[in-house]
Amino acid sequence: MTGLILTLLLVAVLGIYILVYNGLGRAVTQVDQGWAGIEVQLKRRHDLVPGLVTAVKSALKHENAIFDRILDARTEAMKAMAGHDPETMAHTEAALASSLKGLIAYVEDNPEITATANVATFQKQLEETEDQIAASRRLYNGNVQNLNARIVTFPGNIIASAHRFRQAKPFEMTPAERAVTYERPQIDL
Amino acid sequence: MAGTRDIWDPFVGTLPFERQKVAQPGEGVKLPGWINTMLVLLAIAAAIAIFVAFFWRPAAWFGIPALAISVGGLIGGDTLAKTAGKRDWLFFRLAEKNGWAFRLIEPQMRARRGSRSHRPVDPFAARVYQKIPQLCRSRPGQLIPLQFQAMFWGGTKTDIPFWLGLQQYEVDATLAVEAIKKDGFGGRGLQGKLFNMAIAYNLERDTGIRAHLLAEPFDRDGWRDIKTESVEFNRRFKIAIADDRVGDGGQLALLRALTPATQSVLIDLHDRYQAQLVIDGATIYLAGHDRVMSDEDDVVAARFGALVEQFAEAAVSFKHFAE
Repeated sequence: MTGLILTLLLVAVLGIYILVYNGLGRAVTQVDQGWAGIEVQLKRRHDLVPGLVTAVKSALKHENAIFDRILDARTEAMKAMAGHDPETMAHTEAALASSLKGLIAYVEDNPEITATANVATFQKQLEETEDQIAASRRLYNGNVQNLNARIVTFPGNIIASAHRFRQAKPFEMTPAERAVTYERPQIDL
Repeated sequence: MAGTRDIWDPFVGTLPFERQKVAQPGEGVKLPGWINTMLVLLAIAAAIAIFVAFFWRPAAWFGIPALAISVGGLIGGDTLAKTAGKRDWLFFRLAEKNGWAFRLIEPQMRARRGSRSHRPVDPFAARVYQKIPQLCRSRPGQLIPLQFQAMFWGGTKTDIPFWLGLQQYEVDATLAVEAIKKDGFGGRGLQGKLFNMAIAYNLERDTGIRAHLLAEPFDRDGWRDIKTESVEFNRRFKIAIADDRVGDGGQLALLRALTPATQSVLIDLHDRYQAQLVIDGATIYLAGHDRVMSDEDDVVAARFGALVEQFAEAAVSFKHFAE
């Protein structure tokens, strides 16, 4: 009888172990999927930049500095994305978003640019992409929260530490980056 | 009749504009809220007593009369207060205020003569039950069935035409948790109204699939459904493809429609309205419910319009994200 109870207990413990381990593995995969979702949207923004710059440039031939700044920010953002480091990416993406915001604000203040160049389409696409980026960031952070909660709560904490599951970093802007992104854009041509 | 123009309808394409007239009911005699509460509690006690009577027969001497008194009292109270007339008037006022087409739905009744199994259903409601039974039937994840009392054909502030079906339930939250006693308008009360709603609008892009995104029971992610990249989304929705005209399993088409922004909005809609939806080609059907917690008719009337308008605006809010 005791042997049977011990066997059942062992099977139960093993079952829980497998369930929790698989749950953690699944959570890590979901974090990776969420991250891939963010990268898709960031890549989309990077791809929109040259078109937008070309469109505005044709109507604003006398000034190249702002375009150089945006293209430099894009290059930095693309480099950071290749490195897959969320912190660096958050920083470079905030810089790119800020540069683009400055350009859009300038375009909005000068309707003749919108009229002469094919800017409105790019502007709409950019706004949609910004929405998608914000949403993928939210979904990714939800996945990160799910993984981290599993890692710090019992019995996940024991299995996570035995198998070296690491907590994931949410994709968030630092206060300084947030200030850069949301501050009133300044543009001096 | 308010005009001869046509209106968009998800079930037959277009319909001539028609707004059914509803006569204003009188004030009626409204019983105090606590009497309703007592009758509800009596009905619960009666149901328990009838269950107990299966094992201890004398309990039936309390259970059956108590059930008759409580049910009779609730029906009598509704009749005195002219609840049905006031509800229809509320619906009509909403349609009139917004310039929407409107019709009341005949209640589903057993035929007075003929077969006992014959249950005629209003033809307008029948079309909906046939097209989107998943959103209308009760099941785990959706305990309250949707049986329409009125239908509207209107447009949002951004001129997106929609069809909207509505049902009103009476709510007694005396025994409920605090969250149920509050509504989304800052109101709090023991009595109130729950509005069960379904809305349909045109996505203007044929997705090529029919997909059901229904509420997961207990907000737990089930095993046998399609997963998106979001844990939060999968926890709230059970996703299935019912029809795939493209023939590739439909997952690609579905995931194209479920962009991150769409998922994000749907998460919010689920949290606010317990929303669930059916994507059928180019048409979105979305069902949800909301409540107004007050037993004062004026308060309910004032908040009801905002409730339906907010629901309609929220339901179409992800239209441009589902690219």
